[in-house]
Amino acid sequence: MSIETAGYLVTGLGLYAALGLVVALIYMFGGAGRIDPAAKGKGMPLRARLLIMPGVIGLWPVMVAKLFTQKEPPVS
Amino acid sequence: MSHDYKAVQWTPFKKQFDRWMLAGIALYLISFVGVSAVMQPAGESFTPIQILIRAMGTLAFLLLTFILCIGPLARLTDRFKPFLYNRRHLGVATFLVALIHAGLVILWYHGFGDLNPLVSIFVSNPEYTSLNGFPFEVLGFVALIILFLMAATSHDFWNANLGPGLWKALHMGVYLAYGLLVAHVALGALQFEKDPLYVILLGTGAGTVCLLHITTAIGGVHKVNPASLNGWLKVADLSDMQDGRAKIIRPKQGEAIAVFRDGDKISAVSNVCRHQGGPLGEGKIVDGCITCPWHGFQYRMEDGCSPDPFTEKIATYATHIVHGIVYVDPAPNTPGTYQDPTVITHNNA
Repeated sequence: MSIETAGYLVTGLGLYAALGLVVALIYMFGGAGRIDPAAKGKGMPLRARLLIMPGVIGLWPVMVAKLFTQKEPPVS
Repeated sequence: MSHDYKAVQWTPFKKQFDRWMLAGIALYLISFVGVSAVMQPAGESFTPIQILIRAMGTLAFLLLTFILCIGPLARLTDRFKPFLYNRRHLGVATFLVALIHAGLVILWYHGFGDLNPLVSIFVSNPEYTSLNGFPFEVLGFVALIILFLMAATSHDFWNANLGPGLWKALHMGVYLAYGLLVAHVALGALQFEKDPLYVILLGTGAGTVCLLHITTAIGGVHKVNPASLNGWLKVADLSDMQDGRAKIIRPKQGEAIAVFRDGDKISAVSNVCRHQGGPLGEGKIVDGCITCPWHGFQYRMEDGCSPDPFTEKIATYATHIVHGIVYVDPAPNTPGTYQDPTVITHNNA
């Protein structure tokens, strides 16, 4: 792999993570409760919200899609 | 149970388990660093950071190997079930150990040049056709990303919102991560390491994982219970049914069935917990409810419903007893359907 290609790859990963952080903040402040009623308000304390942030950063395209498409609450 | 999310669902046992786990990790690291420093061959002078890199790397490999062995071992003996029910914390610990290993590697081997350290990982060994020049760092990097995704989605929120299918598929990535890790070690450290201990460690670890999975996969095929009476599957002799516990039956089609005895009553439900697919038949009756061994989700025996205010439902099955032998109808009722328990009497026992 050339240095130029590796540079693009690392920059791409950084951008992906930065966008993921934005989506994670949306989930932290209301997004989680929007797709899952059990996560609304006191149903999900701050420490639990912080714990799901890395996952949202890693899977943010899936979680953005869920914000708009998940109509039914999850099974549990 | 499911009405709110906690950061960690602590139980006294989980706390004790984590204390033992952290003590074991600390003991391993201290021992490794101490022995490596004392036994260092003449003429070589590894720095403390280099020794710590190896300690973290070998520990991550051993932890992941152990995690992959827990499932098959728990099927072979009940002694490993406590590990099975608490392996989530082991997995997160493994990721953190691997992350420290990667961080130290980036700092020590890639952090002092002109290149961006992360770019350096991808270009320092560019020879894809050579064994000793293969970019093994890339393999480790991809394995670390997989471990990250698994650790980051280990909270209950993820299982509920990704859905059991997608969540399970994502977490099956552990096998890919392990394969990448084996290749990372074989094409990396083993290419210049003279000590045969590392070859033995890698071969024994990977071999044990493969052997245990093959053994239990073959054994699992024979667990299908073919004995039946007019379509009803034989469960066990009544005398073998322990009070408060279950026997698990695996029909040729459909989900496994957990047949419980609670005093003089026999009832059957799906063996699959609605929470994370835990094996209900390996749990026990607590306060009159079937209690999942993984996270304590509960269901009533007679209708498969979680007690109020919870709303989970699992399928129930009809049972009966003939001449002291318990049978179950493999056709499931709709989840939450009331099914009369079979009462043990002098006539049927």
